[in-house]
Amino acid sequence: MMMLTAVFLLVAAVAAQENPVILASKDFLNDVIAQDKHLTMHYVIHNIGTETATNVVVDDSAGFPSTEFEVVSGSLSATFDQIAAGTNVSHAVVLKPLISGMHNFVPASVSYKNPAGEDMTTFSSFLDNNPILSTTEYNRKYSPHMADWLIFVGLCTPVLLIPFLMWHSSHSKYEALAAKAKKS
Amino acid sequence: SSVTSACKAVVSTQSTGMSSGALTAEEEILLNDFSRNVPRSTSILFHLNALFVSALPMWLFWRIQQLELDTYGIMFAIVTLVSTFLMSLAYKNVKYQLKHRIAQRRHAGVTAEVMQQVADASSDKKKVVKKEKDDRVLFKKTEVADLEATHFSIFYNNALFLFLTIILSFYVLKNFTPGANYLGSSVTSACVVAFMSTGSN
Repeated sequence: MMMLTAVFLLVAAVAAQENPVILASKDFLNDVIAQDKHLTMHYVIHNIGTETATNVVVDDSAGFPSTEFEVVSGSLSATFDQIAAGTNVSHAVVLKPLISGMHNFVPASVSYKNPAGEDMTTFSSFLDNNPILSTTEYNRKYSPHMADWLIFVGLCTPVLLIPFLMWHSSHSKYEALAAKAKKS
Repeated sequence: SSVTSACKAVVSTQSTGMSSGALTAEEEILLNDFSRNVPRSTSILFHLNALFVSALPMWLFWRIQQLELDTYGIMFAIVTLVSTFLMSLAYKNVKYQLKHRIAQRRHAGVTAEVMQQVADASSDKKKVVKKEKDDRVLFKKTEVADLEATHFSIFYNNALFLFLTIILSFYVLKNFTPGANYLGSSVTSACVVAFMSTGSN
């Protein structure tokens, strides 16, 4: 009996090794996530098993509802006919957040079929809560404001340059007169 | 020095004035010269300058720190007025301190200018007595010193205020909320400028 159990477990272990094993990673390609600014999501699906996974579907629609995110380019779901063992594929989608505040970036779901035709599901890596900056916050922290600084310098110029030049013209005149009087 | 002799002249004429009951125009001018009070035109110039320079940080905080005018309008107005008052005070104090130092420095240059004018007048055969020459030099020196002190006071205080505001708002207080940042940087800068203007040197 024990011998039979051991053989059975061995066969099961070998069978498990012979399935495709999908690991999926999900990541941002942005350093900063802000409202109304493009956000690029990148998915990499690895098959670390020994068999080819077929009909692989990556779906992240649940993580990015249309009321909160607009799809700019690409799609929130992607289908790959097969992913051979030991290979990987990647997918990217460009979104535009319509909201600001903390957002829970839930894992994407990945479904696929093993060689036996069984449906299997896994999930991508978890990105946790991340802040989406409002437009005001983003402009405050990251916009260069070159034009605004130039205008500020232009506004400061009269209050600094005019009094200085007026003082300097009188100062130079009388210093020159004093130097001339000292010489003679 | 001219300051000491003028003060002695004022004191001696005041003692005679007390018995006669009135100050002469010359005594009035000397008294005004040594007081902190500024003429009306200079006061208006100071207030307008102070108002303009106090309003400048509003541009930074509106455009760069994204403070909305309709939400923070009252705070902008109050801080600008407080800043204007402190800057006007600073202009007056610094001008008072600089005026007499500049007058001493300008003695040689103004004397040379007045002597040149007198020499030109003498060529028209109008003789100018020594007392009149001295009076002209004193008057011109006071005028030049007043003007230079006014302009330098405005330049110096404006530069100090703007420098402190930028340092405080973009470095020291950068992690504060924008409203607190504006309040802290503008009022602190104006207070520091006003405080430094009360120094004796």
